[in-house]
Amino acid sequence: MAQPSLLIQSLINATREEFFYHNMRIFQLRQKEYPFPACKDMLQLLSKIDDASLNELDKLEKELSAAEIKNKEYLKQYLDKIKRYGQLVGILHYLLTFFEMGSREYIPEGTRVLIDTIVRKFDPNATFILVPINEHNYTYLDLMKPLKKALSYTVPNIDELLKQCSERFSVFGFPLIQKENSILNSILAHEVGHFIDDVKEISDKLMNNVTLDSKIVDRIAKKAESTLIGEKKEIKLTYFISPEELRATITKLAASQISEWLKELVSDAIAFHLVGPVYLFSLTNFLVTVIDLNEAASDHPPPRMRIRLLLDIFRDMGYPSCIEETKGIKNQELPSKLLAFVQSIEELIESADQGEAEDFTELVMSAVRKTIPALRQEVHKAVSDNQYNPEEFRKEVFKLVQLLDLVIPPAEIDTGKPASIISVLNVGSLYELMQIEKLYEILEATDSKKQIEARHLLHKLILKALELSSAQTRMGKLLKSRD
Amino acid sequence: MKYNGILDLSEVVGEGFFADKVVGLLEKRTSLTDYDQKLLKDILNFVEKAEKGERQVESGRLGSDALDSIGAYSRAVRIIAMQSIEGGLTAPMVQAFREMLAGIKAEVGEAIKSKTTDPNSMKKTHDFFKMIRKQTLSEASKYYSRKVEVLSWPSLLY
Repeated sequence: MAQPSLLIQSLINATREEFFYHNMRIFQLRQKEYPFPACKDMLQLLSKIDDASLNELDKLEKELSAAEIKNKEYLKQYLDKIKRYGQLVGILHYLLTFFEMGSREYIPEGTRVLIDTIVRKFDPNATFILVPINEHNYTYLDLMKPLKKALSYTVPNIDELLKQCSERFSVFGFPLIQKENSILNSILAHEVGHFIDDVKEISDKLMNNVTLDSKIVDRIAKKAESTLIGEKKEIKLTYFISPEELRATITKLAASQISEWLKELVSDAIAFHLVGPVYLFSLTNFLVTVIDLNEAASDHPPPRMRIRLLLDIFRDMGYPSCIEETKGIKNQELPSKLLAFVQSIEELIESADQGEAEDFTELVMSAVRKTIPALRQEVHKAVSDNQYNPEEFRKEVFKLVQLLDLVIPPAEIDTGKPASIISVLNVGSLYELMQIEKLYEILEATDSKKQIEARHLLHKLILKALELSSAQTRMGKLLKSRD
Repeated sequence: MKYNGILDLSEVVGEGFFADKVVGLLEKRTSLTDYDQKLLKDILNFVEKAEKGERQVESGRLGSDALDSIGAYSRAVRIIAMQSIEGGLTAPMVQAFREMLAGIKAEVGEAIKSKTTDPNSMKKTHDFFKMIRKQTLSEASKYYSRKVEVLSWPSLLY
């Protein structure tokens, strides 16, 4: 019987070792304490996938030992098969990294409460975890998606293995350094938006409304045809690729970008409906300090488009009139100061030079713009039952400000009555924007170093309030059930 | 790796494993198991997606499955173009694309009907998926190495 070459045997063993060490790390991680019980379930699933992949490698080895390596082509076939498993380890390794940082010491209880409240409002049985990530960004990933995509034809019993887990396993990520920035972390509502979009398939359905402007597609194709100009003559790209390939690639790139942009805008709209103005303020801070207002990325629309959408929803949900009508509060100027602040965001995004978009960006932008009315309608339908209302904002937020004036966590709206988690977030944001001077005064924070520490204290007060409000709500329910 | 990257890589690796299985099945004369039958039906699904993709590219009207469909169409057109480097294009691309898909459908349909595979009568399907196998390996490798691509033409579109 022919024996596989030593080289191939060694490569199979090297790949086996990778699965083995991946599995060993899973075993070590399973000893950690996680704030979300779902972590252990996913680790168990990943471990089973490692075992199943090792079985497949055993089969490959047997197949190889029974075969005769006749020529180079034959050898290459086996090398390719092994390489595929090597690539799979890379995916599994990436997924495991989320569990390295997901243990209790990295997740403040207040942030856990926040995400738990927002997600469970929509789906009480959702399976999710929250993790700090190395990338300076907020992220969402349904771990079941890459697993299903990569493993459908890899492991024979994959359907059975996946059935033991929930249909979705959401990972919400926040930047490592923002662990205690409770107000900025309201951006997590956008990531929950992605989860809701996935469940309700809002952006997927919106793709049905998209038609690409064929004139712009033609223009891009023509441009690409004559992009390369040599010393003596023009070299057309169509010398190397067919016009059909070119058109297919342009359409594929456009469809991909439009789909990404719609997902972002849908998630923005959902986030605003779920948590209200705090999201507008946090997102504006987060984007405007990093990206140019007109900067369009392949996976994100320009900040101008995103903030414009939020301002429109702010207006159409009736926040301005509701805030204007606020009466009987200690600081009478607060409502008008808030509206003036929103106005200044409006002026910022309207005043900046919009520039001329490249053909490809124009193709995407025009398609997305046409979809926005339908997008808003669909989002409204999906979340209006669970949304945070202007009325709630007016009744709770302005009242809670008074507690922060006394450096008390704004957790109770009245004695024994917990404030809503979302109002806690909003009052934090409002206070930070409009009234932080008072806290500086109380803490005698006269220089910028002390002032930033005062702001950090505010973030901690908000985290504490989130925790207290949640504990009080749970306690109330428990007492009620005993009665 | 960036966040979206993991989804793209999983897609490519998954597609590659699919192609591996198809090529493996079509290289031997065998009676079909339930798993093999499912595999053949998935080939027909792929063909259907590519046909839908062609319609979306031609009309500019996208659908909820645009990424999948146009991806399948784009893959098919690229394979025909690659194959034509060796043998030359015997018909215009659109016609070649339709003939290729019709050929695959006929071969796979026959195999499902007879519940057997015969390498001699499934050459089109075999060669097509052999190309997918090759392309997906190379595409996935790019996620693990940084290659300088001077003429990476999609970037020229921007």
